[in-house]
Amino acid sequence: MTRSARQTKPLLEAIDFSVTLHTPSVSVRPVDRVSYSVEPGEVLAIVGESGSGKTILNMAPLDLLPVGVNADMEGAVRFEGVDLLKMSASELEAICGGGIGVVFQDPLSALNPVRKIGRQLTEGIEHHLGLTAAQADSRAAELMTLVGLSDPRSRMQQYPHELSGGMRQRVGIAMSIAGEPRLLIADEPTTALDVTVQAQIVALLKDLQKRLGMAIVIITHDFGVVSGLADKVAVMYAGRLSEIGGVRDVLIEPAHPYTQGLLRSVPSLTVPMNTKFAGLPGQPPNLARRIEGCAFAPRCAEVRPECSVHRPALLSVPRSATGHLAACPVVINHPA
Amino acid sequence: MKWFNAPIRIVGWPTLLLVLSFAFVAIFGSVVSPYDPAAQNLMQAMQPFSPEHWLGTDNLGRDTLSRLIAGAQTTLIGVTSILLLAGTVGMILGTLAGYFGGWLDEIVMRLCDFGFSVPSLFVALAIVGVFGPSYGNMILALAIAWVPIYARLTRGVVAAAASQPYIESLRVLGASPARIIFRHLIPVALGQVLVYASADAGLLALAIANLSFLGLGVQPPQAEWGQMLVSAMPYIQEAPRLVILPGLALTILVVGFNLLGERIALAKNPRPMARRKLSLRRAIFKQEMSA
Amino acid sequence: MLRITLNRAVSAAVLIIIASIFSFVIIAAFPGNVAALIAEMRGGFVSQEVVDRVAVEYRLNDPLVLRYFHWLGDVMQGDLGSSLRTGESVSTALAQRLQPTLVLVLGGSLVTLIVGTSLGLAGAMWPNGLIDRTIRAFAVFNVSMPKFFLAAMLIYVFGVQMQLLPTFGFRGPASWILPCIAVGAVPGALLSRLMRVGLEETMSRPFIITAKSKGFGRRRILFRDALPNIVPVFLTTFGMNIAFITQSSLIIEPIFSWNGVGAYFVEAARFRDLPVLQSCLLMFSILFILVNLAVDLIVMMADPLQRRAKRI
Repeated sequence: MTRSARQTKPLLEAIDFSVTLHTPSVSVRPVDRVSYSVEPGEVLAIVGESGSGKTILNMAPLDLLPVGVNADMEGAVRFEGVDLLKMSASELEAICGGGIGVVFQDPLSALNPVRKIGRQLTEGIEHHLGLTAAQADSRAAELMTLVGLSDPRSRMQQYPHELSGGMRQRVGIAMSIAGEPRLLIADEPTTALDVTVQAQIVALLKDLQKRLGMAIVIITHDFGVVSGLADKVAVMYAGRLSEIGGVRDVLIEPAHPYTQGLLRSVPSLTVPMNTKFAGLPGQPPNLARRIEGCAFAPRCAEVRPECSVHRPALLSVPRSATGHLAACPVVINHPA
Repeated sequence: MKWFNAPIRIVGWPTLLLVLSFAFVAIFGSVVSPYDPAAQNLMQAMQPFSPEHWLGTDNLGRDTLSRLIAGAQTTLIGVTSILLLAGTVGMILGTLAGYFGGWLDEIVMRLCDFGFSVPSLFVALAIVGVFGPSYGNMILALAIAWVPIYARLTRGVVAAAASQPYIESLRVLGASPARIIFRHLIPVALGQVLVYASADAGLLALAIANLSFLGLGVQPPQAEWGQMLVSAMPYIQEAPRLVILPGLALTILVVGFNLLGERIALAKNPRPMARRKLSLRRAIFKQEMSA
Repeated sequence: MLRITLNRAVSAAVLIIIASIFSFVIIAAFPGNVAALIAEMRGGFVSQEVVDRVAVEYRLNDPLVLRYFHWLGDVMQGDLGSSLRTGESVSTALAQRLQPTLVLVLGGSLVTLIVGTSLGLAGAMWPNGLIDRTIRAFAVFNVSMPKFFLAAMLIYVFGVQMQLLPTFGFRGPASWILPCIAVGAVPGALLSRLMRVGLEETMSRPFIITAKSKGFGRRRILFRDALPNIVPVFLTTFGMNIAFITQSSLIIEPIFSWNGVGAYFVEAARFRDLPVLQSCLLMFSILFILVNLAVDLIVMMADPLQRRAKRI
């Protein structure tokens, strides 16, 4: 694909994408008609509370959900113009690790405990780049240096439990970029790590993104990660997108009441000591039930009667940059 | 019928029916049995299946069906007595070891280690060898060989329960060890022991048959499946049914016990969703969403 | 690693001491007059004088503790006493009868391994398929089947009906086949169940999703990622099964008329041959304790997680 052709089409594009999960005890809809796109080389952060469906949104199209979960998917998720949902198992296997790399939340459980790190790295390189074992070995050593691991040759002989959490996540990142992907999906890559290590991992991801020119979708609930890394932010609530836009627009002038509440509830060190902690009152809705109107209406301070009738569409936020959309009729129709 | 619903839900009716029918035969065996299992009639020896003798007769003319029924009795009484003996002694040792700890715990656990490293049939065989082969000595020998299992099981449960805060507080409040043991620890251990015993019954039925097969357990003329099988081996060519029937009876009983034990042990684990259930869920959820 | 090895070795030694005490006490607990029994088994006229002479010869009047140490001293010098029935030295008899038992245990282990791995892998490769369900039903049935019944059926089908394989005596490789199958089938079925369940459990762990995210198919993940994870459990279970395979020699050797150690033990139990019983129990116990020790150490070395844990 030529460079110009790639620019005309987004790298990843979800259109009216819905996921329904069935387990023996419950059926839920954690993703409900979500549309967004990621351009080549762009970094999109998806934020939301836990249980808002942000992980399912990204893992379900790649068939990377836990065993025993049955996922029914509707709509389309196009990667480089081809719908992932319509792919055969073998086509999807070619995309996974090749076109799209994935970094997981908990690096300890995401690495195979009884296989050497070197093997876990080289198998992906051999599979996707078609290199010989010796070539893959030296490529793996390069990758480990690239992600900031010293002494790669002896590290490759070690097992995952012999590394620290931060080093494990560096290995996880090295594995995810082994197939030279155009898109990296990072599912809360810093959540399981120490605070000091979190910043290093964010810096590493940013550095890799610059050097390799790949796009990143980062799933997080940490606004520090968002501001440090992302070009664009999508805010998810109860399986729906409530706001999407450039990182400056959304963080500085959040339009949706949910985004505003979320930003207010971030603890800050710069406020006086005895300031009351601002959380969001109420609970997110039950995803096993049909939600009438706006999902956030029951918890919203600016709720109007019309909010619980129709589901609000994502519309341009007045007096903001293009591409800044929010799903809130109150903000759109009655600008403050 | 509430008391009946829970076991059916946990175990499933086929397994329950299987085990209960063996128990029925064992309890009412002498009533339903068509002939005296020990009555010999050489004129009627080696009869095939017939209306008089449904399952034929053996080399001494004894009715096979009656002997199979008597064998069920022998086996189930044996299994029950061994479980009672081994369970009681094991629970006493395990509770003392788990509650008091120290050197008592050390000794009991070393003995258990020994019991676990040497297969039970060796120990039972040596004991029967010393005391002489008989039904009672076999039960004694198997009970001794099975004690370590229940001692260790109880000890684990009791030691874990004894360190729970509510037991600690009972001790601080001045409850006597006997009260704590009998009112609080034994009931917890008993549940675990019963679950384990349900899985163990099959192994014990096999052990009884093994010893009797070797001529070291149940002695003639008392009927037992393993012994029936071994005495039929010389006639395997002309009357294989005499070998197959007792073996099959024992196998089916053990299958029943094993299924029972497996179901009870797995009762807590979720089972994977069947395809029919999944499509049902899809339909229900669709309705829920469109309502 | 070294400290753990020493630790295990010491507890194995303690177990061996317990085994020797148990083997001794069980004979000392004999109900009735041992001297009279021995005199009787030697045949001839049993008078009080003969009984007294036997009691002195076997040191039956010494205190129990003294007798134990005396017996222990003999055992350590390789003297396991002699059979009451035949007068034969027990150590010589054991050595003579070792070969069939060894063949049975090794052959049975081989059958166990072959049946366990092939059925376990087949079940995991096509989960809930026809093969998997057949194997599961077969495993439940097989585990519940008494070994002597299985052996009798093998004799009936392959020996009596098809006249294919010898069913009597220890006479060359063809005669080994049926006994080894009779011994190995049940542990094999157990092992296959364990493997199937272990693989399924491992396939639901998070690092399998990682492997999928690298673009590998299910079968490759099963062999490269899941299989290495169950090796320690597999080895431990297989090690435990060696004891049960050996135990089967007690049943299988008499059925196929093999003159092995298992048959020797059973014979001793039938005739109340106390020295033979005592020595067999002690030797088997020591064997099992040593096998357990070896399996523990091998598993420790095969498992990278344990290797690390022991090093700290």
